[in-house]
Amino acid sequence: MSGLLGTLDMGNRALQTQMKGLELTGHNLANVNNPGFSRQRMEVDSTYQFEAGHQSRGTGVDIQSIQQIRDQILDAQIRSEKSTTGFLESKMTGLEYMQAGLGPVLNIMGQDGQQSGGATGLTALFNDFSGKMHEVANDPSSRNARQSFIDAAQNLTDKIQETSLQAQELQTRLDDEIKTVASESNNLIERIAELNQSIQKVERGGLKTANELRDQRIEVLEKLSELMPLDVSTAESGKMLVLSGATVLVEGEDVLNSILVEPLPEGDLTLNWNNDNAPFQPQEGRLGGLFDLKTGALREVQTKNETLAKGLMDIFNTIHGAGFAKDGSTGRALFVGTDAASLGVDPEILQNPTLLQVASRPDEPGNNDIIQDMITAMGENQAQLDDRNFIEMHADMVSELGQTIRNTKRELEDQQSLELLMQKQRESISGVSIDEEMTQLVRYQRAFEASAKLIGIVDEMLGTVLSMSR
Amino acid sequence: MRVSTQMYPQSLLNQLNKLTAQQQTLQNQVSTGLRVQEASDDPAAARKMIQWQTDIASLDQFRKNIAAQQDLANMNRGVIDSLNQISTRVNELAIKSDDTQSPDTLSFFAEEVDSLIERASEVVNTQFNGKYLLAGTAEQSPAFTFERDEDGRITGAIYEGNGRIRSVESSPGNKVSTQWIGTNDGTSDEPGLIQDFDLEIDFFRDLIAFRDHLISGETSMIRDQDIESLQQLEDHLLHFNHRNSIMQTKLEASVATLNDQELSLTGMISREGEVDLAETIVRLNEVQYAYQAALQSGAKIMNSSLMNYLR
Repeated sequence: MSGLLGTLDMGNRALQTQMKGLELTGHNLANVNNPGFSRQRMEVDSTYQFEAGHQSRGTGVDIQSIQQIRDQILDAQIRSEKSTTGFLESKMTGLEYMQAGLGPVLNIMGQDGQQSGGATGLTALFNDFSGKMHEVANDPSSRNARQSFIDAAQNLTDKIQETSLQAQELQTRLDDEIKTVASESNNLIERIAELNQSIQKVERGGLKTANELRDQRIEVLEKLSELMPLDVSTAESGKMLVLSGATVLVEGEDVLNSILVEPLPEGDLTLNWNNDNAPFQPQEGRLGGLFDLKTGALREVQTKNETLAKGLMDIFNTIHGAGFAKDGSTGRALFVGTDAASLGVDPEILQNPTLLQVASRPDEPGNNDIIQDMITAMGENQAQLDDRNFIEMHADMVSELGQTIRNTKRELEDQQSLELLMQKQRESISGVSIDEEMTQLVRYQRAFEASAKLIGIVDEMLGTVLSMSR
Repeated sequence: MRVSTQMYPQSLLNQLNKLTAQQQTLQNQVSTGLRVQEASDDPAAARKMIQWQTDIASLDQFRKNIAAQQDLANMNRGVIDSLNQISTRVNELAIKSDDTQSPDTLSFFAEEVDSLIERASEVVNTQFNGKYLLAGTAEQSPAFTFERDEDGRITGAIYEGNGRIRSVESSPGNKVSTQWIGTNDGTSDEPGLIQDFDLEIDFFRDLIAFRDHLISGETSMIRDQDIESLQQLEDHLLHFNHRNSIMQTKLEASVATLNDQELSLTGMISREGEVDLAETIVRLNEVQYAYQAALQSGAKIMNSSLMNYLR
């Protein structure tokens, strides 16, 4: 073959190839700001050679393939890091909401122009409660002192009740979010199966690579791994397997399991895999974070708050019950209710402060023995409070939540830096560089010009050949 | 390392975010003056501060308790002073009441003593905030009721109060009381101001006996018996006056201690919870410089690429 027409053909192919290269550069440049895109490179090869006598001659260039520049190990690592980040992020968001919601309870320093060092929140209410007990002890028969003490007791029980309600509300919010994230996860699981199907269609002949679809699939997998722990492997059949723990979610184009939210009694909920009918207990990802918060920090606050409420009822009702009111009556409880949510001051005492039983003997309005016992109980370590006093219990509740928030914040910061580092590594491998693409543009443009020149010369030569026969 | 176009804006954005967050934290600290606003800012400090705030609140309460006791002590001082004056006058009269006095003078003296007894009967039922000072914890009713003869003269005093006093805390675990009971019938641990069976003191008994001796002109009884018992009464009251003063001094000393404690607690809270303004502002400045530098260098780098040089 070859000859002038063969060379013309070679020029044509070269033109096509350079144009394709130019197009690919354009594609890369167009996606410079697309975070899920990995840059593509054109692999070219010289076309077949043919033997002419002793010589072998080349016939030009042709496109071998369009390759994505990707590091699969890094992709898997980023997926796993995203699970951890998702876990910490959702936990942190919940904790921040918790600190804001319980703020009035947990705030320790005065804000908004309040004098610094002044206690706020539950600390202040506890201090007021015990202060007003002293006032009653100073003047047990004073109606005013009794009334202020009852008010202080009511403020305290209101706050404990409010804390309980806030925690309950937060739990409902967390449950709602778990439902939302679960349904989002299910959508993503389906999307992966769909993408697998599309990729399979495109790549069926084995000639083409569905680069863009693969990019999309990696993005979806990463989104899903933010929500829950995820593994990706290949089945024996060569199909892609997406697993969470031992449960197969997607095999090729089929969804095998999705998340089922099942309600539990008392408004709680649990997660199951719909096909395997096995429980799903996420340890990572946003779902993991939400569950961790629910069963960890939030439950801790709820338990401590309940302990405070129970402690108030047990300890003060016993002491108060043994005392005598102004009218000589005895045996009445100071606090009523069964738990933190229902804790309150006895409604009749609220109405009538003289019913407060502060004396150890009837008909002794000046006797303050019982209220003194209550003051002592307030400061003493109590078995019901795990050998702490009320303030220590409250201080522990505040500082433990604070510690959890601080630790989570620190872990999240570390995790974000780690993920960022990996993203950078990936970006360094797969990201588009304008400078690089501009150089490619120049390269293809020049090669295009050269090929065009070749065609021009062959054309001239053909003209010369044709003019010979004139 | 290959640097892609996305890497610059991304890392610049991250750096700017970090610096902005730092600026925000520092600015917040500077503007509020507080280093620890939420427990998560410094959980250990938060725990200590809750404890200290509670300690300060109880110090405050102890001061109030002491103030109430000081008021009570002042009132008691007034009562004891009045009784003292009465006792002093009665003692003067007892010494004067010898054989040299005419029966008329003695009956004048008797009238004066009677009026002093009346006065004392009012003083021992002094009220403070609507409560009878000397009635123990049965403070709702008068400490003493009085028996009178057909002439209306007081012939006996009956204690209606009880032998128990009310004490309040003046420091953790320490109770204090400046209350005095009127009568110790031998069953109470508290000394009785008017009557004390253990000490064989009986204010009204002795005054009434003296008055009756004056009326009957039994100057020998006065000389042999009343002068001694009235002197004993005088000593008893002086002793009480002394006790009351000691109590007042103690209370003042307690207040001074509480004030010192509060001062050091406030200092501790301030050290843990408040910012070192100078240090924080210097750090804020550093962060601001870093922020400006990041902005400037970022803008410069992102502004130039190969495109600036290709036709």
